[in-house]
Parts: sequence; structure tokens; C-alpha cells
Amino acid sequence: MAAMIETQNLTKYYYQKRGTPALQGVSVQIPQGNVGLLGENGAGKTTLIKTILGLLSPTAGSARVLGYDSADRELRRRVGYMPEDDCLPLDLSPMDFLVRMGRLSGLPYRAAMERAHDVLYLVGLGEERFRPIGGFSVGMKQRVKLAQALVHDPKLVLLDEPTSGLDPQGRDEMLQVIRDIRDKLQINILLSTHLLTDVERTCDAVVILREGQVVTQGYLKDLLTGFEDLVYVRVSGDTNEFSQVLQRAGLRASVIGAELAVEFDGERVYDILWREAARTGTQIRRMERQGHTLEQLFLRLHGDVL
Amino acid sequence: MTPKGVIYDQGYRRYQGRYRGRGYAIGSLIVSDLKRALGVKKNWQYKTGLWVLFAIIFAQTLVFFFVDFAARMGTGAPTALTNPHSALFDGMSIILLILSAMVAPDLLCSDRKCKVVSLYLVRPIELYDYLLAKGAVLFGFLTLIAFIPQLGIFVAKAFTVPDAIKYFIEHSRDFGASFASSLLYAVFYASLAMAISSLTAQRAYATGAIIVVPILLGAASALLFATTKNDYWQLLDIDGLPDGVKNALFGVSYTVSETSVTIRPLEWWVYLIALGAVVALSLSIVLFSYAKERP
Repeated sequence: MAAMIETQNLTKYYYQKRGTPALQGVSVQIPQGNVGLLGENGAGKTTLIKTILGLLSPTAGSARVLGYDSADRELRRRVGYMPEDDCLPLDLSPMDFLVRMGRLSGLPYRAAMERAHDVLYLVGLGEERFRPIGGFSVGMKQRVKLAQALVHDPKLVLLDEPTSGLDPQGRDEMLQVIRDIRDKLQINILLSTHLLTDVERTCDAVVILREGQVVTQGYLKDLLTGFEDLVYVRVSGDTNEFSQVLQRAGLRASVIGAELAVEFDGERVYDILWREAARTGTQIRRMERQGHTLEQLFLRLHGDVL
Repeated sequence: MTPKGVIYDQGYRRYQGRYRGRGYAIGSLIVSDLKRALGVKKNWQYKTGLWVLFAIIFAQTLVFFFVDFAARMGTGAPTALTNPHSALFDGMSIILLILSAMVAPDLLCSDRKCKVVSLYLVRPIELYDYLLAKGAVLFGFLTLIAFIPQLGIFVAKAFTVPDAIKYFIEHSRDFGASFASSLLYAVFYASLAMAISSLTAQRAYATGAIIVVPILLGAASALLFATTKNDYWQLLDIDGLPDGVKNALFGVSYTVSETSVTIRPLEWWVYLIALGAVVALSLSIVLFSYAKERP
């Protein structure tokens, strides 16, 4: 599959080659689809996004996005950007704001109006589109920021910490919208975040940055091969005995402290667990799948041990 | 048979049309900001302030026209109003200052306070395009406010003389001077207001500073002139700079007497150079202030 973003030895110093570079020789080929850009705070995610958008000039190296050089102004018509910071005019309504942003991207007035309506419905702000943004909650403002990134019908949207500041429900809804953008609208996404679960839930591929350098990149299914995926179970009765019951039923289970760790190899694990618990009269007090394999990968790459 | 309707969900529609260019984007920014300056979708306080100022301008225009009309009818008008166009500018300058203090902070400070500038710059426009659009709105708005009353007096006078064509020909200098002076006042107040507004994200501070700075400089100018008797200190009273050029354009001359001190006017080109310097300094301040707004 063709790469939507390609960088060659991209380097960025903020203070004319003094101090630590924000990006250091970054060479990536980011495929089409939903791609996560992971890294701790200060890893260089936002700098990379701004550099590939052409908002920052690289100190060295080059970047091409959707076949355009990052300095090409035409690129900005094909790309949408949702920044992390608050950046909305509070006295305007989302409708007025989106029409303005659409026209700034080159949409004729009528098309900008139509698309503003469509996009605001898409992000779930259809009923609030004529209210001033100043009265919106954090979640609604995040949706307005997402809508403005989509209003000019880009081929790629760059989302910088889109779930920042959202409550769990708001976060779920935002992640669902992000999945819909890819699945229903066929728009490519580069999702910059430090929340691993956001990437797991929305992305097919990932690029991990650390201190301005690419630590790893690739499709999640390839990168996560070899990592254990476990279901932790706490039961009321004898843990050792129930472990043996599960092993006889064909599951790989071991006792870790007061809990059972059962290797997850598909939904059948749950079926067997419930069936054997019912058969032996064992009460399951807690059951949680801790398949945070991306977290394991992330920590391993950062030199820590899970 | 009852007719049946079927609802089809069109779903998400891709944009199939052509994207317009950079000029269109700047134009759209100008149009939306011009509407904003004229009070469209603004709160009632802004609209009230704007209409009160418009009413004052209208009243001033009527007064200057009727005083001039009365003079021409032989009723003994004040000699200072021998040229109502020039006199109207003297009355208008404070209105233009207040208008620029209302509009410029609203155009610039609000965007900065909400940090929306960086979002605009993700679109296919540059920082210079953004500032150009803001400057064009402010300059255009002030030019219209300054010139429309002049045009009104000119047309009204033409209707009150026996030969309108002859009047137009004989007073073409007034028309040209009115237009040039309108541009001059507009560029002066627009650049001054933009410079001060670019220094803060707080609208109230900017509004206050735009009004207070010329007053303070005027007071300092008078004080220094009274102390040193040097005529060039009058250039510190920046509010008087466009007046100095305007008087030359209309061919009128004033000698101002203030508390036994007579201020002699300088050559018109001295005012023009000083005015150009203030405009250049103001624009430099704007560019410097916005340099850090780059994303």
C-alpha cells in the first residue's frame, strides 16, 4: 500500500542547532489508514505533525504528504488538522466558524455551508450548531475542532490528542467518531496521543517516538506478535483447584498470587471459564482481560519491564 | 390511494468541486471581518456604540453643511468654515480614533485571546495574508466612514447651487483633497490601532490604550512646546499629523493659540514624513508582535 506520509532524515532544532533537537533524523513511511503516533510528552509528536504540515520548516531532511512536499501550500487543502490546544472563537457559532474555515480552505460559500451542516451532524453537534461555542463543554469543543478539520473534505486528518480532557463517555464517543471517519468516510487518520488504548481502539498501524527519534513503526498485528494476552480471574473457592479444572478443559492457566492468569486465545476462553465455573460451583469474583499488549510493547521499547 | 414518500439518507457527501485560490481565502476573511466590524452578529453594546458614532457623524455632517449653506446665503457664517470639507475632518478625527479603538481590538485581540490565529494558518494562507486581511478591513472601514460624509456634503452642496456641473468642476480640488485626506486619516488610525491591538490579547486594554496614547502624547507635546518653544515638538502630538497634511491638501492654514503660546504650523511635508514614520513604526510593531504567532 502506498505511504501517505514519507519523511527522510527529518531533523528539527527550535533554537538554531543549539540544545536538544525536537526531531532527530526521523525517517518514516506511514501507510494509509488509521495510524497512531505514540510517544511520551515531549517525544516530538506535535513537532512532527507541524513539520509534515509545513507549519514548521525542518532544520534538515524532507517530508512528503499525499505526494505533496510539506512546504507546498496546496497540501493544506488536502489535510485537516485538529490541534491539542484550545483555539476556538468563543463568540461564534460552530456553523459560522466552520463556514469561515471552509472558505479559507477554498470552498465556495454554498459548498462551505452545506459541508458545515453535514460535518456538524457527523460529529454529533447537529442540534447545537447555531449556539455560541463559548457555552460548550470540553467534549463539544473537541468535536468542533474535529469538525473544522473535516469541513474542507481532506484526504488526511491529523489529530493531536483528540481525547484530551474528555470524560470516559466523551472519550468513547470521540473514538467512535474517529473510527467512523475512517470506516465510513474513507479519510486517512494520523492520531497523535500518549494514550495507548486510544491507538489500540482506533488504529491499524503505529509509529512510536522517543526523544525525537522513531523507536519503531509498523502494523499493530505485526508488532504485537509474541506478546502475551492474559485474562486475570479471581474466584471465591480454591484457586489452584480451579486452575487444574481449566487446564483439563484445554486452557493454559497458571496461578499468580491470589489470581488465575489464563492465556487468551479467542472468545472461547470466556465460554469455557463460565461453563467450568458453573459446573464446579465456583464463584467468579473478578475477570479482566489485561491484553494491554501495546503497553507491553511501549514499555519494552522504553527499556522498562512490565 | 395515499401517496407515499421515501426518505433517502444521502449520507456523507464528498466535495467534488474545485478549491479556490489564496486570493479567495483572503477575500473571505475580509468579508467576514468587515461584517464583524459593521456589527453583524455582535452584541447590542457594540451595535449601540457603533450607531451612536454613526449618528454623531451624520449630525456633524448636517451641521457643517448647513453652516456653509447659511454662509453662502449671506447670513454671516464663521470664517473657520470657509471650507466645510476641511472643517469636517477636524471634527471627524476624534470619531475615527474612537471607531478604530472599537474595531481594531475586536478584529485582532479576540483572535489572539482565543488562539484561533494558529488554526487559520493551518489553512492555505500565510501570516501576512491574515494581517493583510485585518489591515484591509480596518483601513477600508475607516476610509468609508471618513469619506462618505465628505461625499454627502459635496453632493448636497451641488444640489444647492444653480449650476451643479460648474460646481463639480470648480470644486474638483476639494473632492480630490477629501478622498486623499480620507485615505490619510484611515491609514494613520488603522495602523496606530493595529499596532496597539497587536501588543495585547485583552480587548479592553487595547481600546483604552488606543484612545489614551494620542491624548498623553498630545499633552506631552504641549508641555514640551511650552517649555522649549521648539515648533517641532508639535510632531509629538501624533493626532495632529494627518491634520497638518490635510490642511495643505485643502489649502487652508491655521495658527493655533493656546494660553498665550502661539503654535506655528510646520511645512506640510514635515507632517507627511512624521506621519509616514508613525505608520511605518506601527506596521513594524504589528509584524514583530505577530512573529511569535507562527505555529
